Amino acid sequence: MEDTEILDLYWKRDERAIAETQNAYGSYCHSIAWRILYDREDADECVNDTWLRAWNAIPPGRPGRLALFLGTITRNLSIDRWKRRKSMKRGKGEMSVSLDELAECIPDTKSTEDAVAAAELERLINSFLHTLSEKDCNIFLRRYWYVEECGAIAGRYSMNLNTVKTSLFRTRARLRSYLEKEGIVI
Amino acid sequence: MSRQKEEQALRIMKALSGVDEELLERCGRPQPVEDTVRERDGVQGGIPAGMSRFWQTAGKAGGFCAAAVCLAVIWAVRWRAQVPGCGETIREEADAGVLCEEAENAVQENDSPQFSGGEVSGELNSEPWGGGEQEAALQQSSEEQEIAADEASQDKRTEPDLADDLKKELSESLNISVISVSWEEACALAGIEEQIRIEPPAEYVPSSVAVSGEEGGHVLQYAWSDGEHTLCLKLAGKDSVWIGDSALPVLNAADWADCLPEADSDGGIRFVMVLESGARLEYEGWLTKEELEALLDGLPDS
Repeated sequence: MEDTEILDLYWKRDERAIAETQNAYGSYCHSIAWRILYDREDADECVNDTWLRAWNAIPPGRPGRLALFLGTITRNLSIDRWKRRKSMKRGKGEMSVSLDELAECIPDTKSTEDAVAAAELERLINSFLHTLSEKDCNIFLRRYWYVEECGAIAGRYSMNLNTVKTSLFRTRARLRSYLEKEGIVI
Repeated sequence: MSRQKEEQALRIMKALSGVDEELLERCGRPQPVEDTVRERDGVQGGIPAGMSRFWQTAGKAGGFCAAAVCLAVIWAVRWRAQVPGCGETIREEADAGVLCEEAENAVQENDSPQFSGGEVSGELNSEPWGGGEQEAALQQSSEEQEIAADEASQDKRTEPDLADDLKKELSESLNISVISVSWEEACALAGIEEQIRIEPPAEYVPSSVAVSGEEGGHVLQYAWSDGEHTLCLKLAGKDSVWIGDSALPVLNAADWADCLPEADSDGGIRFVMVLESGARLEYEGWLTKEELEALLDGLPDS
């Protein structure tokens, strides 16, 4: 079933919308949740919560790209659950490793200013991503949005693993410089 | 990682949820996104369309052609350098080599079903590339080669002046900076007390240096490249906060040569070594065992 047809079901408040969404995007959302949580039960719960959130959001919303809309919900739910659970040991799953890497992007500061609003940080990171080449941006998003392993990214784009790691290393350094230049306190 | 750093990293992670959908959709496409030559207004990245189509249709033969052109350029540059009064510099030669290296890499990375036999997927054509991206990549690689060229050109500054300049450069951008220093100088400036002598193979030249961390606990990341592979070392003093890949095997400095891990699926070897002083050294590279032994022969405990 096409996305437009699925969205029509949501708008008609037809409960078949959930089943069709599950058929079309169940695996996709589950893979996002799995990479973050590394736990089947938690990943299943996040995916189910995603359908509930989508049901509540549509209408009035009508997302242009249903896959990304659902994926974003799943991702946010999974990150929140990971944060609450924090049961993953270091080295298990890519989420801990990804956070370790992103920690390098945080500017050092002794300022006591309040943290920048989440929306402002979102805007800045979005602006930053638009400064990157397509290759570097794609690699960065596959790593830190989809929480994919570097090897999987290398395979997806037919690159050397070293190329992926080098790209990530440089992009993180650039993000750090960008946030420092913007005077960001996280 | 401290709780505060973890919270901060999580904020960045969550902020990424607001990324533009176009960017997400683009990265979700399965085809490789190499720095290939694409069509825009009939000119691809500054190269005439006819030339780019040559590379696309040449397929595997294009790789050999690219290599032949690169060799011809390098030979021409070297020949000019040998002619008295031409004024050719090592830098120009390095630049020529860099341009050829980028072309070779682009051709090698293009060796995929999508790019053989002159086929170019419609989706790739629908996303025109700016010529600026290739230029930026060339410039960046050119900068790295310039670092290596400067090292080879025997800087005439006195040692005290050199140290002052490097310290100033390091202090101005301590947390992430790339500076043209040797391994020993980088260790000293990063405040790492352990005297670790490193002897990479001759074909490897320094390609990047970065120092991160807070004062008193720096971590040095140093990389060399032979044009195809990168040799990376990450060194942290005993007082530094170690942020590394915890999945890597950990070796002792006393018997590391007997416990080398197997190569990964990409042929590279990666491990962390703990020195007797408590310092940690992380290795990633494609050296043979003999080259690795020569590289790390200067370790305090080996």
